[in-house]
Amino acid sequence: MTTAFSHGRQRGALLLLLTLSLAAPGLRAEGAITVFAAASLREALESQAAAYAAEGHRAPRLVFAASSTLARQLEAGAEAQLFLSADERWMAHLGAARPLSSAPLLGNRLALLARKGTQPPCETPASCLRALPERLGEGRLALGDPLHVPAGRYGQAALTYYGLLPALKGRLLPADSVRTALAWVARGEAPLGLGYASDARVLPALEALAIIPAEAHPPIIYPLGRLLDAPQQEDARAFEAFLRGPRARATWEEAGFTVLTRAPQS
Amino acid sequence: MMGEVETLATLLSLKVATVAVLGSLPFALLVATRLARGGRGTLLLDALVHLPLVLPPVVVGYLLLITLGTQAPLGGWLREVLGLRLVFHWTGAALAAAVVTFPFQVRALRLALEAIDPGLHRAAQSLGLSPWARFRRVTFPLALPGLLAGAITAFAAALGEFGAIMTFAANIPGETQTLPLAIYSALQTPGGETAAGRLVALAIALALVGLLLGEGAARQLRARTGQTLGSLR
Amino acid sequence: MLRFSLALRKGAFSLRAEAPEPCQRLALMGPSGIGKSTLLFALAGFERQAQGTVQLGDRTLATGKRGLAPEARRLGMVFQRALLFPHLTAEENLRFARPLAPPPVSFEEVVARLDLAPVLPRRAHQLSGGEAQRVALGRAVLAAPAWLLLDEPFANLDPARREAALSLLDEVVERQGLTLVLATHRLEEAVSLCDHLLPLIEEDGVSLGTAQPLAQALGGAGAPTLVNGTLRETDGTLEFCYGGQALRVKAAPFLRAEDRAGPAAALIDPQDVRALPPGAPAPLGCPRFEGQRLSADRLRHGEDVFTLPVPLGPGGGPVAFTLLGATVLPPRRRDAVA
Repeated sequence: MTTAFSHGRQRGALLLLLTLSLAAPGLRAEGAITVFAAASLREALESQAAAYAAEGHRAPRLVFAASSTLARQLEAGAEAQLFLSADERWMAHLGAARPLSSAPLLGNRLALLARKGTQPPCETPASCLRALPERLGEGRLALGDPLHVPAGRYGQAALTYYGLLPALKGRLLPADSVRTALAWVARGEAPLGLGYASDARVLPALEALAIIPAEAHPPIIYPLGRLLDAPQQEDARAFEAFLRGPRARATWEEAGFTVLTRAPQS
Repeated sequence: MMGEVETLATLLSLKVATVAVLGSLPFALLVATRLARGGRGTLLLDALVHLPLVLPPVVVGYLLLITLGTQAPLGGWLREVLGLRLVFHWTGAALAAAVVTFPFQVRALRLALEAIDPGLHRAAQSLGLSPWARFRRVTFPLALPGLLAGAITAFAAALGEFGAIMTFAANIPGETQTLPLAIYSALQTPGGETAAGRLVALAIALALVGLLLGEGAARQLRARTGQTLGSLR
Repeated sequence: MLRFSLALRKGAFSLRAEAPEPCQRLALMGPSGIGKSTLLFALAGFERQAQGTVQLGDRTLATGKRGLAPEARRLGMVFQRALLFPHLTAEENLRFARPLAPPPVSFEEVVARLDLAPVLPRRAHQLSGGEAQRVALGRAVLAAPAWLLLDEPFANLDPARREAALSLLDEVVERQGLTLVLATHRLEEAVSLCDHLLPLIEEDGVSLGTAQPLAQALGGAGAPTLVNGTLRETDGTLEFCYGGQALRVKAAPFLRAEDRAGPAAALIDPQDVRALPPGAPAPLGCPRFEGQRLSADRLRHGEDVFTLPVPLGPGGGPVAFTLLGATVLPPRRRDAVA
């Protein structure tokens, strides 16, 4: 004889079982690790992951966005093993919230980019930059939002260095990631953009008019951090070692990054 | 009391939402009239009108970009011939908001128009009124409460529109950074939570004021015409 | 003066009607659902005609398959529902049409005759059915129309008010020489106001009718019979003592004070004749008949004689009867009808 009460119990048990089974994928012990990486690393990191998988390892899951966005998500508890940020500030910001071990991995250069064939070439980077107001005409200079996107911060630093900020007031186009900014340049919505030199190599519609002299901005450092409270530390360490290792170097350099050799802290 | 960012974002939000609602009103009226009349093509038109409701706003913004961006033929024409700048301009933000909130206005207007006793149109005809005079003196005054309701809903929705504006008009402080975009930016910046909190409070206050004013006005109008639910003589 | 010939088709419904001779006051009559309203709407231009002509005076309003839009036909129309504009007061409704020509009756006169002064500032939803219908009538009259079309407009009015409304209509039509088309199922209204009748009947799934002068329309078998007699007013009802038979009649729909006594005529619909119940008091000065229901499908009349085929009761005696109602016509209308 079943009573109303036991009916309720059966239903409750069923519900619990259902919930658990849905949550199960999150609880699995074995699986791919997740890497959060700055948007400018997309193509290079995808090549690295493919090479890693070709060696017989399980390919990691890659998530690309602005470093600011990713850092905030990780800070809020997003589950990832590795974080490749476009600047040390966001890595430090994350380190204040979660235990992590990080060391620089890559360097990059800032470049002034335009759609192929739309701008006259630059004699020198400095002359090009100084001529920005004229070169822009009625359009705007696209760059990552200087408030939070690392590439934007570097860009703004460079503009300050050359005393261009007053002239460009109201002529900037802040985007929530450097890739978005460059997409606008590629679409023709903005005549010029400030991005990474590596971006010119992977976005065929763009050309780098000038590489910004390194003294115009703080050094561009991409630190690689491992979140110590994430599961699957073994797999994480293995992929990190790969990324820092000799086999990965060629891919990084081909993509336009410089590899910063410094021994990782454990 | 209010910082520069907040003032700019608030004023811009109000400007964008107002222009979006007022600008799309005549079109909403045209479309609603056509839909209320029924006949062939009504179903298709209805579906098209509701498209922005079901599409992710970012998609709407992207579609606007490829049709009205400066490189697109239509966008280029607008720029050259009419001097109308849309992308990265507050007018573009208003357009994006207008497209996304268009269904709200059309729905409310259509309901209001359909609720008008068709016999009243005949009575007006029998009294010798031309179609324009009928619209002006009978249809429009009776549809006014519904028009207001739709405009208020659209206004509140336009205040909160994010994805389409972000994609089509970008997030430029002072130019296209409406309140929701300012909140987003504040949240991205380290230590920006307090700023975000203030902006959120502002956004809520604005929307509430708008809703209360609009509801009050609509209610008054309805009482005047005796249009309570279920009583239509 | 109205002349028309119309054929309509609306889904499964078909109608053919005509008024070959010009009529000034035409009543459209027939049972419910036969198409009186549809025909009226077609004359007004609200229904599309399959074929036909509508001529008002020297203006052609419709010909072939096409016709003028209703707003161009100079209508004055009163519908079955009042259809007052809900966002306006009664006064604003009355003044709604802004005709170029001056209306046949002034605003003040309409308000006075239809007793609308107390409701002027109210809105449509604050009016009773009867009040709303009177406002609708006033609104149509004040539109200075060339012709008035009425679709069962007096249903909601109590007898006194109905009388006032009919009287106003009659006067307006008379004064301005307006044409009147009235769709109604009440014979008394038709007979009180109109001189032509268009009875609609159904034949093989089609509604048909031709307008005829009233007297002609009334002459047929089974049609109401006109009888002559004398009116006596007692206790608010009118007793019609006729050739020894007392006929008690419902309150007259339309009589002026001077018409309430004296020679008159009555129109008796055979369906309105009922036998008196046994035991009822005998009508004044009239012999009494006892018995069952009378079959009165043939009433013949002569100069001052009202003859009924009197059936015999079981004992061979005659049967008492009374009339449920009759349409009493004052002398001047009698001349138009007879």
